[in-house]
Amino acid sequence: MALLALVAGSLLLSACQPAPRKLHGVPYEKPKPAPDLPLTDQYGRPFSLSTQKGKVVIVYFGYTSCPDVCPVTLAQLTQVWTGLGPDQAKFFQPIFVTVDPERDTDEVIARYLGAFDSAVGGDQGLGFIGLRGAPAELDPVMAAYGVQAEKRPQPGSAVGYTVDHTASIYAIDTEGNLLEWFPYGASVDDILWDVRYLIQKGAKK
Amino acid sequence: MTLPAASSPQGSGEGAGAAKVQAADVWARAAATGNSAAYMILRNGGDTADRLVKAESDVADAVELHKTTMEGSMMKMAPVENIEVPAKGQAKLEPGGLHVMLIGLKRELKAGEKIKLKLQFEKAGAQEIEAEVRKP
Repeated sequence: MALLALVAGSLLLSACQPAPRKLHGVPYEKPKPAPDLPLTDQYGRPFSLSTQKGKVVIVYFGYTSCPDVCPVTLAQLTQVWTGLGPDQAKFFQPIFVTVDPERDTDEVIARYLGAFDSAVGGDQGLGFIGLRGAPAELDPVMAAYGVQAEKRPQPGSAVGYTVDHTASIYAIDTEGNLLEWFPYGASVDDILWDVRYLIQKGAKK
Repeated sequence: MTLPAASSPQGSGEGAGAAKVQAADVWARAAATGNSAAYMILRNGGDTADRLVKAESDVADAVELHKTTMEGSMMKMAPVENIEVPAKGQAKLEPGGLHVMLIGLKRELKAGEKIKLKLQFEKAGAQEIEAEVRKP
């Protein structure tokens, strides 16, 4: 009896499409092509989002001197990455965009992201992309994603200044469409579920 | 959760100002460079409120008390003067909220190692504690 149920269960499973559940983030009313990120990566190379077609991309805007919320979010993305497993991991690409290009040089970003890469198999060619641009390049990108950032001087503090910024993450499907965003504090499970779903959906095309 | 025996207060704790605040679950985030943060739970067994007024560590150029707040989807971070630990209560220093900010790391903080922090309380005096470095 138990065996029968097991067999029936596995048949049912294999016949199933990915569950038609809704995505967990906040959807855009009309999914649109994701605004490009014409910035420079942490190795000094020009970047374009079009190179990431076929991957599910998550974009996060932050700054490396932020010791609290930014690493929490990047750590969550590394958990999503490892949660995908080796087969799907190569179809996921998290991107960090600095809102503090003044302090975050390419080198600083590379070192900062390197600490996270080592958790996801940086040795297998997987790694965060870190992007930087002069304010004239960065401002239109932030506006296109609806990201705000404001430099706030902190007199009397050794940090000099902090940067208030939108701490959401943005999900782009394998076709390059901006589908949804998650507020800070979204669960790893929800993000992972959506990324996996979008990877599977992309693989069918 | 039980308090580790090692966290019993040291230093200027004896007598009238006997330390009643203890730090538990103390950890710091691994970081290669730049800044990091330390988190903990401060428990006050005393009948009067106390305040964490200062923190020090050899691993960073400067150590400050900071607080992150969310306003809508905007993340803001700013120094705070002190962190109140209510009488018979606790203060939680945790990601996305209050933290001890380690500014300008002098060296890499590697997961698994322990670093020393010195906490200065208004009433309970100074305490040396250890923070376990955990993965980011």
